[in-house]
Parts: sequence; C-alpha cells; structure tokens
Amino acid sequence: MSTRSEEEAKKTPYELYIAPRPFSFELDSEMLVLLRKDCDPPLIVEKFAAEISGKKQDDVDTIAKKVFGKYGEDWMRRTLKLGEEYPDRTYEILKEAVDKTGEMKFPLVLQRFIEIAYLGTQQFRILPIVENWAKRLVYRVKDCYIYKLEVEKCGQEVAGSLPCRYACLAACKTALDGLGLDAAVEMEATMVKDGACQFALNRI
Amino acid sequence: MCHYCEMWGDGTIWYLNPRNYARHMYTLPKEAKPGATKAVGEADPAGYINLERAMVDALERGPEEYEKAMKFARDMVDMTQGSVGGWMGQVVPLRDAERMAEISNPLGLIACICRKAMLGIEERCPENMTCMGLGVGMLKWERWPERYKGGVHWLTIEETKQWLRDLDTKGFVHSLMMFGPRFIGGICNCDYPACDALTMRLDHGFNMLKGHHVAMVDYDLCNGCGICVQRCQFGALKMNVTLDKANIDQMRCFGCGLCETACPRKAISLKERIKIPSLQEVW
Repeated sequence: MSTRSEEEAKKTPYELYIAPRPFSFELDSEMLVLLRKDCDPPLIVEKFAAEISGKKQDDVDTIAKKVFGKYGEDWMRRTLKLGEEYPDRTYEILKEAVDKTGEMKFPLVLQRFIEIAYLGTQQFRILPIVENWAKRLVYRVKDCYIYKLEVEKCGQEVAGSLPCRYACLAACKTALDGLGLDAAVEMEATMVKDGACQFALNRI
Repeated sequence: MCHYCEMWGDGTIWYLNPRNYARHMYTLPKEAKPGATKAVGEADPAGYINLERAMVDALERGPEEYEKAMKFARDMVDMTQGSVGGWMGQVVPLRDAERMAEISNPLGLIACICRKAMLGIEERCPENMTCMGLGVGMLKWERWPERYKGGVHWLTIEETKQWLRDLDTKGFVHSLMMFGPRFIGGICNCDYPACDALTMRLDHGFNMLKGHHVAMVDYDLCNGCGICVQRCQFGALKMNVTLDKANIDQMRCFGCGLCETACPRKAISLKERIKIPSLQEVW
C-alpha cells in the first residue's frame, strides 16, 4: 500500500516530542483547595440549620430555596472563575477540539466545570458521569457530603426533603448561563428514593 | 441476545446506548500532591500485536502451550480492557457505526497501530488514519506520544460519518473497541489480516464478537456480479456457480454489511441475528 504521501512522510524525520506546559492532565490541587475554602459545605449547612431553627416545616422549603439556591450560584460562579484561572492539559486539548469542530462545548466543557465543582467540595474522587453526548449530560452524586451534614445538623426529616437539591440545580443553571449554553435541568433520581441524586441536562 | 446487551443494553443494542460511552474526565489522586504529573510512555502501544505473536509461537510448541497462551490472552484482555471472556470488540455495520458517532464524543481520528505493526504503514500517512478514538480519554492522548505519532484529528459528527462511509467504500470492516468496563472507546476500521482484533478472532477464536446482524441475499434481485464476494473478509460469501448468484453462509457471516453497501442492485440486506433461531446464539 505504498503511496506518494507515505513516501513523502518517510522522507521527513519524526518531530521531536516536546511536552506541552502545563503537562498535568489532572485538576490543579491548589484550585481545589481554594474552591473548598470558598464554598465549604459545613459552612452552608450550618447557615441553613441556623435559619430553619424554630421555623415551621412549611417554611423550610422556602428557606432552602433561598439559602441553597444562592449557594449553588456562588459555588458555580467561583468554579467557572477558578477553572479558567487554573487550566490543565486536558482542558487545553478540549478547547482545541471545540475550536476545530465547533461542537462539544455541550457536553464536554460543561462536564469539566461540573466535575470541578463537585470534586472541589465533596469527599469522593470521581464524579460518575452517566451520559455525555450531544443531547444529554447526566451525572450522579452518591455519598453526598452535604446530605450527610444535613442529616447530622438538621435531622433525617429535613435532610429527607433534600433541601440541598436547590444548590445542585442552581449550580447547573449557572454553569449553563456562564458558558452560554441552552439546556433544561432535571433531577432524575434522589438520594432518598434511589440512593443517589441524578441530574440531567437536556439540550434544547 | 449478546451478553453485553444483557449486561449493558438497558433494553437496546448495547453499543447504541449512550451510557456505554460516558466517562468522567478527572480522577482525584488518593493523596493530592501539588504539581504531581503522570509519567509519559506507560504502556506498550503494540501490546496486543505482541500477544497475538506469542499465541502463534505457543501453537508451534503444542496444544497445551497454546491452551495456556489462550487463557493468558483472554485474561489479559479482560483485565486491561474491562471485557468479559476475552471479548473486547464487536463488528458493527456502517449504519450502526454512524449512529455510534452521534452518541459519543469527542471524535478523534487517529492512525491504526495494527496497520503500522503488520504492514509498516507510516502513522502520519493519511491512508493509515483508519481508527476513531471515542470519549474523554482521547483528550489525554499526549500521555502516549509514541502511540499517537500521527496526532489526533478532531472531527465533527458529520465529518465522522463521511469518513466512515469513505472507509466502507474502500472495504474496511467497522468494529467497536472496549477500553474499560462498560466503556466503548473506539471505532476500528480495518481488514484481515492487518487487523489484530480480526486476526485474533479468525485465527484464535476470541477477542471480536460477531455483529448483531447477518446478511441475506434476495435471489430475485441478485445478478451475480460477484462484487460482494470480493468484499467479504470472513469467507461467508461465495458464488453459487450453478445459479450464478451470490450465496451467504450465515454461520460464517459477521454482519459487517460490506456486501450490503456494495451491492449495486440492493440485493443484500441485513437481518437481526436474534430473530433467526439458528443464529441467535452464534456470536
């Protein structure tokens, strides 16, 4: 299968491989420390516990929406900022691919920031991605640190109503707005019923 | 039903299920160390080709040695690729390969390591760009620069479909590759005997599952041109010299569909394997 292009290719030596900078393909640990410092789950759960103290059950959801909704927005805004300030080689290659094709901003760029948000504030090492293709990004949160803290600080009944879901939903919405993407955010499974929360971002 | 459909199909053909292409982008180290980097060149990119040669050597030493080599090879494939029983790939027809391109990303065109190893074709040569890397793992390709000497060329979904159609026209068999449990990481387009995966299956009986379809000839439409016979790499198509029509041995058919896409009279069609009782367990 000798072709002219093959012969031409053989005439030139292979280019010397020069490792790009930064060369780490993983997330910058300093970035994760900063994110954790600014969006520490114990602080927000304590704030929520203090706000619902002495309030009627009917008011808990309204307070949750306000407290966790605001937290989710701030958490993702900080993630978007830090994620750009601390690039890694995986992200640089992803950006090259997006520039070349004009595709993949949804779901892959979005996926990167969502992974940073959770890995920076939770206690797990991997955020399970259920689907990531042109029409859907779906991820699952198991062993949620915030949920555990809610059970400790607010009791099983309050934690069971998943007040923290407003944080995740607001974070997804903020990420979409921040990246200029359109998608509908949906909660497909819950910690209480299914053992893990699952969020789906469906491309409109 | 193939056993991957049972395990990972969620009610559909497993490779048409988007969940089997999804993977996280990052893993935190057990103990985060600032500035820690991964080593370059961790794996031998031609490992499976060496494996196949080791099996041929074992065959010469006798059946017991071959049996041992076979078990080792199957275990090795399962351990490194996350497969079950040594089956890490499956033949897919063009139309399914095109649907695979729609449900996975990124799509990165890369050189075929089998064709480099078996035929000595340059990685940078456009004729050797016959592999498609799928999924977020492709974003980290620079970790193995010696594997990707030809680089990675990112394609859109439509470009990928056109590229698949071009390779189909050239007569390459499409197949999927697993790179981890429940993770399809590549579409391979190759031919026997250059393709290591096809060689493993046709010469040693493992590695590559047959596809979900089998080809059938409509004798009323077939004009006996024989184009399909020349394209079959599995020995399933022969000319029936008495009738002067193409004849398919469905037990040998892998369902690649190369005969179907080449037939000028549309005399060949693909039927679902599981709907044919005698073939539904033949993988």
